[in-house]
Amino acid sequence: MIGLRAGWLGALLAFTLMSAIAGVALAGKTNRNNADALTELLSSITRSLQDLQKHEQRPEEMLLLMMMMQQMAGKDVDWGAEILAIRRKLEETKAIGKDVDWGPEILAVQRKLEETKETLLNPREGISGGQRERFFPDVRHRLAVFTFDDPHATGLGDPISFLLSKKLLFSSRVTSFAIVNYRQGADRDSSSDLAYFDRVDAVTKDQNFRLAIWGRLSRTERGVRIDSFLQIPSDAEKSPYERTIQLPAAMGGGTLTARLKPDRLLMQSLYVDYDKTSLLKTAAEQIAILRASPAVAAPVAGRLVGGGNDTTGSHSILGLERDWAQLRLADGTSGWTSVDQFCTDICRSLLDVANFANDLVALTSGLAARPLSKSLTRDAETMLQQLAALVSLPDNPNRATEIAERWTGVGSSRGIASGGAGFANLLAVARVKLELKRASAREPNFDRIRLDRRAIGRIADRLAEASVADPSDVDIVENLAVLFGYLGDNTRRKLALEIAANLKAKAR
Amino acid sequence: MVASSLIWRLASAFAIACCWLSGVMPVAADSILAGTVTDAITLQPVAGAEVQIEYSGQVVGAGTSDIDGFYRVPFTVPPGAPTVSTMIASARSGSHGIARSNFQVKAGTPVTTAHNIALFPIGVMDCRAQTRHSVIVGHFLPPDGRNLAELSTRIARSLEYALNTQLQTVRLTLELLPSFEPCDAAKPATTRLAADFAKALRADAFVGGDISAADESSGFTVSIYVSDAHGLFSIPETASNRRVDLSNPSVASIAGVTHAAVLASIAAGLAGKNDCVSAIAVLSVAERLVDVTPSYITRLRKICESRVPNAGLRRATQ
Repeated sequence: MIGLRAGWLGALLAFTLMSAIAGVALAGKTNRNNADALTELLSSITRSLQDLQKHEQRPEEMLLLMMMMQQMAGKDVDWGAEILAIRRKLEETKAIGKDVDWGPEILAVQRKLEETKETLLNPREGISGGQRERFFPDVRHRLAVFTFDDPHATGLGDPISFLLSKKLLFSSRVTSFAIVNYRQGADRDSSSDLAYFDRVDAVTKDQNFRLAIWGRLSRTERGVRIDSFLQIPSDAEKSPYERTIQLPAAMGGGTLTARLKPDRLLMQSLYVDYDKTSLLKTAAEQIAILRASPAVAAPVAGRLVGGGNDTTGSHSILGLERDWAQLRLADGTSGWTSVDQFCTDICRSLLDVANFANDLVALTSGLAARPLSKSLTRDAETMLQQLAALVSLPDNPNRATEIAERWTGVGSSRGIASGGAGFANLLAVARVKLELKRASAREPNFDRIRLDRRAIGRIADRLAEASVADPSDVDIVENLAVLFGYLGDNTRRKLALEIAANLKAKAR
Repeated sequence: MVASSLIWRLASAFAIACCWLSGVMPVAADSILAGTVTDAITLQPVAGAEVQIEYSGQVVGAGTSDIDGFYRVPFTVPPGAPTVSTMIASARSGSHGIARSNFQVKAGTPVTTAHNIALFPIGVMDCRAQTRHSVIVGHFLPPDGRNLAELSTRIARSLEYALNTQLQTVRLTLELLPSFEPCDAAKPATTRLAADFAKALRADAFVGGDISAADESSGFTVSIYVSDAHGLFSIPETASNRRVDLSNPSVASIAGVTHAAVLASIAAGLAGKNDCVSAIAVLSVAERLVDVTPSYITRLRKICESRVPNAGLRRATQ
């Protein structure tokens, strides 16, 4: 099943702005003065903002609103020209390389503030290695949820992935968001020479998903244990989980890379008593029913995946109201459904997994993460913190350093903790970035900057320790090769390059 | 020794008589194969083991081991016979399984006259895994005569399910993933002997235990120990699992410390094969499963860290 969310906030914003534009245009025709029109416009925008503040707002949308207000202040407005001007400004902002992660959805906003679409599909496809980004190639945030591995035949594999995919979609904090729910995709096949992780990896990489969620179910003495995993493409380059910094030409001009590690993560282990497992199935069944209005008791209007006439499995989100989402199926049927209304009790704990994944995506779009649920693992918290540090790296290396310093030591008494190597590498890159930033204040020509070799030496030595603690981390050894190169330590540089080459060859 | 020699002679005579009665006509023996029959686990001699030598499907010699496990079998094969003959050994008591091995013959004479034989206890030989890394899950001593033969299988499946998934999070390749072999026939007399089972079966670890009949309504207490084949544990690592529902055939809960001990054994196996990079990856999984890192993990990590090529990236003075 595929879900595409690309901006109900955008639609609301468009509506707000168009209303305002229409209002001011009308005011112009009736010769009301610009100040009145502006006051009306501002109050309209304020109301809209208050509405929007109930949800976390994308930075680009806020910026757009502000620019609109700036453009309108004290002018006899030509709205078509103004919008064009805003677009130009947005283009200019992009062109100067300001580190604002715009992505395709802002292009959609630029194209006449077009309402973006939200769609769900249920492709029932396997690992095909087919067309890359087969579904919603223009969407910025594309996620996949795979049916949970169910060797003990609990019957919960599909219901759980269905629940999670809907929660992800309905509560996404960003626009331009797609979910592919592989219900029958990477199913359990003991004859395969690929582990489930690797099969999920294959689809994730083939279809260029930003992240994938799957899990394993096992029976316990008193019920079922649900292990939910998250994985990001192992070798995703230029991904939202990677940041690079360039060294000045005087330092060799090499590139240092920091990447989110680990890329496979147990997010949650949830124990569900036998008598509560039916809650999960029932919740999935109820969520699959579309109702005529956003109420539990409302008449049935249609059915999502698993029943009815929905042959393609696709549906679009028409709108949201409280906990309810209004969907339109491919056959034109529309109706309301809700995850939160039906997923209660222990089912609600399971949804922490979807909230966590949504927070990861939100972080890559510049939004802040919310407090982590206690039901999630320590590793999940580690990943969230590391991503927060990673996205801070380009513009705020101080913050990246602070976070990384705080977390690098976690678990050090017992060797390398989960994410420890990732934090150590991030810390090294952030420190170099910080030094470069300080040096830039003294030397305006970036390429002439040469950092103190002793400082770089200390950073490299610490990084070498991290490399020993996690010898399979390629980024660390490649970064070490760059640093040793600047230090003029050709022996260690050569060794680092050799180790990196071996690790890459082994990974292939 | 006189007595044992007498027994040996009697046994030899008995074997020859058997051959005669079974229609195998011994011919004048011009070669001798000799050696010792031992228990593959305890390495103790097995007395009274029958040893036969086959050539081209025919028994061409037979003998019996003495009290020291020593056997000596005269046999004859034609000078132009193929270079390989087969020796079959079995314990007369039925306590051990049959061992079959080939030996080289040149011009009708064994290339090596001493040919030692290791016999596995009945049923144990089949537990030997074909994978590079394996864990044997042996017998669990049941309370008050209950039959819990399936418990080894349940625990093996539980270990495989939990640990192999964890190991994939650190991208351990499939060929390095361990197999977990249920082996109810493996019943070490003491927990210390369990390490010998692991070694004999070429496994990294042996898992066994016993079950206490606590309050049956709230489940049983299953004590699980882990012994390793690489000398990692001075004494077996033991953990107690409470409130285990033995009536449910599909599950068996296992404590994190047991998981960690099994993983450390596998890491030791990897380190023994000079793959310290993978060993460290396995140890990192083990470290996450316990609140306090056991000293054996810290020790093994240090050894491995000194062996990986990345150690050369440290400053020379460090």
